[in-house]
Amino acid sequence: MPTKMRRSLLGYLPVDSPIFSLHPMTRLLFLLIVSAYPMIVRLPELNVAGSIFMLALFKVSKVDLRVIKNYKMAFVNLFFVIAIAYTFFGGYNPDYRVLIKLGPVKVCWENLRWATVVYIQLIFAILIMIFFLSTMRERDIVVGLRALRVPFVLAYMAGLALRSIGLSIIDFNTIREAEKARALDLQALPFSEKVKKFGMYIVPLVALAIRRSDEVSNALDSRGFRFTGLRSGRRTDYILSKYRMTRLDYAVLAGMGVFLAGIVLISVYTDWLALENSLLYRI
Amino acid sequence: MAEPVIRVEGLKWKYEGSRDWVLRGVDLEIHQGEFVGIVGPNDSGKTTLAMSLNGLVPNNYPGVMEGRVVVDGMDTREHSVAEIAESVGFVFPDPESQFLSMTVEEEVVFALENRGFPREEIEERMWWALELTNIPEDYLEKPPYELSGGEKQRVAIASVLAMRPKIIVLDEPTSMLDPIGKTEVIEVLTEMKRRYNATVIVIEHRLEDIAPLADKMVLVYRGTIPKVAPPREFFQDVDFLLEHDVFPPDVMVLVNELRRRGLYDGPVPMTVDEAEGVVREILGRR
Amino acid sequence: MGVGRGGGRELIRVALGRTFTSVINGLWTVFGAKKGPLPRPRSRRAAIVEGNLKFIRPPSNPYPIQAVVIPMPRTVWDREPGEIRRPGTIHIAIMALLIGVGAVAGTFGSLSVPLGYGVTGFWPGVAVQAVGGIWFGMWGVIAGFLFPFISNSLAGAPLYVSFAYLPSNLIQGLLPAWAFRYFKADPSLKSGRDWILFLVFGVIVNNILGAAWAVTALQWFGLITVESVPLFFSGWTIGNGVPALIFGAILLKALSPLVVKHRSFVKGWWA
Repeated sequence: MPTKMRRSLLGYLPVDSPIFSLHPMTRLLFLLIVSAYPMIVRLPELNVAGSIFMLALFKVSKVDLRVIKNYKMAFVNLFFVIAIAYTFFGGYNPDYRVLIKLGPVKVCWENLRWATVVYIQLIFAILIMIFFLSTMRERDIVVGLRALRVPFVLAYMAGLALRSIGLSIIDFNTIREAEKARALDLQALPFSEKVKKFGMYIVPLVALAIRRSDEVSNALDSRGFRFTGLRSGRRTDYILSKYRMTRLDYAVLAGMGVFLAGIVLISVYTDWLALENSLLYRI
Repeated sequence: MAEPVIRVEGLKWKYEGSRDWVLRGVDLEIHQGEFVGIVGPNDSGKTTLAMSLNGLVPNNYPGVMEGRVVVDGMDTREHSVAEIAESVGFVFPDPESQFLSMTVEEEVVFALENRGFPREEIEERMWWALELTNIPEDYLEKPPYELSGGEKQRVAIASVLAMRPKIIVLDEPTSMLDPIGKTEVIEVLTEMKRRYNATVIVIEHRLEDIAPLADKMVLVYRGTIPKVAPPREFFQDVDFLLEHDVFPPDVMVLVNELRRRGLYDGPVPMTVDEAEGVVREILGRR
Repeated sequence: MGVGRGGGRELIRVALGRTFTSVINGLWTVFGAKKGPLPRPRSRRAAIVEGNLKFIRPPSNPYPIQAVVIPMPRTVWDREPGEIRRPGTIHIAIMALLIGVGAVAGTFGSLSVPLGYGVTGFWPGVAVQAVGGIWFGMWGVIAGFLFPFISNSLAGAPLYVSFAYLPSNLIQGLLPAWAFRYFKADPSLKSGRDWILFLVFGVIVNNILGAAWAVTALQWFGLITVESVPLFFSGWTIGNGVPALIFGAILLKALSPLVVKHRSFVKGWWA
């Protein structure tokens, strides 16, 4: 029997994924709290451990790992950009160890080392974002925001915005397919032509959005939605009431919070997380 | 006779920037519990008339209005669409354009949450609406956009029904659906007529499906209402309807032709079964 | 000195108007067909027009030191007598939908010519930021503030980098929105003045300020070296400036005549 799937922001997730046993607010806070780790920690060993931990979470949560493959080009581009930025524009200090000389450009070990530190740090941060997008649905974000007492109108707008991305992608593909049907191969065009063609996409996309705004507004008004600024008025939060915070949620939140506080305190009061402790800095 | 629940008096409407009136002096009365079918050719003003019944016209569209529309005691010029929505539910032609939420469950309870009903009542109304529209429980977590056309429109109707409004306006609810979807929606309308004593106003091109359900048929033509009558009376003069670009069901056209040729002089049948009876009667006589 | 309604605010408008006029003169000198300042109006009483004010240039003085109020033709920003405008569901809808369009346009750009960290050599999302602010006021500005957060995330930028860009995204939408309202420029870009305002505030200054903040933030986070700042700064400015000019102008020319009649159009900041 095929597994029942739920649609997430980046794909599909089995209904029995353990991630669904967590309250959407916990999952939303996961993004906010765990994203802070690579911001604070530069030590590459810890960021590699973080990346491995994230890959394990992908596995445990039954996320199809092919989703990461979609970001292959983003990782490759980032690698080249960082490598080029830090070799050609990395600066030079007489103490640096020059590895290769390419004309006036000196490729130094110190610059490459720093590029590696930054790249590993970013991989961890990007994996956190991919995990979040792969495991959250629009509904989860709205419920998470509502649980955090964000005014309904803001939470609702966030959900509507996420939905409108899907609608815009459908519109975008419809226009693109129409162009293809007229034998236009965008990939084969030079960049300047691509730019011109993009103009043909963006005008109908915006025009459709304006037309849709009428439909959405009419539908909202017809269902008795009153825009009262940030006040929610007499509105019942039925959907939110269907979710309950469990001990697991409190445990996960406490764990993430304690870990965050721990690395903040350690990085402020000790030099345990200093880059000098990295193997890279002992080479 | 009881006070009408909808009273349209001398309604004229012109959209901003347009030279022509879309509605040119419409008068209409609809009573509580009536099932009304509105028919007419394209661009005759049917949708504008429908939108004026829940206040979208004039509240959400700039334009010039003359006359007045009073719905459940509310003058549409003096009440917001959200206020009128407490009495009038509106189903749009395109089911996707009216979805406001990411799951069927959220969609159906959205209006109920807006009105601040207690949680238990929301749940009770939701199940009632889902049952009436034949939406299975395992659809609750699904995004409405991923359903079939007929299912989408049924979800849209359920979302409106859950409010239990006094009046439900359905603007061409089957126009964007495939034949299966159209049949599903007509079945829901039949069920609504049987079990839910609301005033239902349906703008519909499929006359063969609406005629048997309707208590009253309204013809809209070039911004006016040239004919309002019970269905049997409404379809008696088939030539009048054809002159006004309304194409009655084939059975009616057939029997009308038989009448023209002097083969039959009874009333125009409303259903295929009735038409079969007429044909058998003619064949039996010969 | 006969300064019209509005007192202090109008004085600021006068000062800015003079600066702006100098900028136009400068641009004319650099790029114009003729060398020298803008050709003087034939009539001695001809004027520099700023919004509803007309500054009369006295014959002996090259700078406008007198201002009198002369009724000017109504602009799309002026309210009709008795016109009541309130924020409503249409604005919520347009903001959300603009986030969707912007996110798609932004993701397209972020993936097409990436320079890293969401900085790209070609980012059409900026056109949505600029026109969104001009047409829909704060609703468009907020949409332009938020959608890069989504598009950057979808394109693989870490959360904190997306956070760091928020002020850049704010300024890129806010500045043209403010300029078009303040100088009462026509969003349909009907006159040279409208074009120059768009060029200055919707293409050049907003993107330079946006780029300045973005590279500063990247440098603070230690993600780029000081030496690579010019690369990222120029990447951002050009990558945003070119599409802002091309797509922004296309959108404004093609859709403004419809948008200004639509109920989602915002004459003030919120309605």
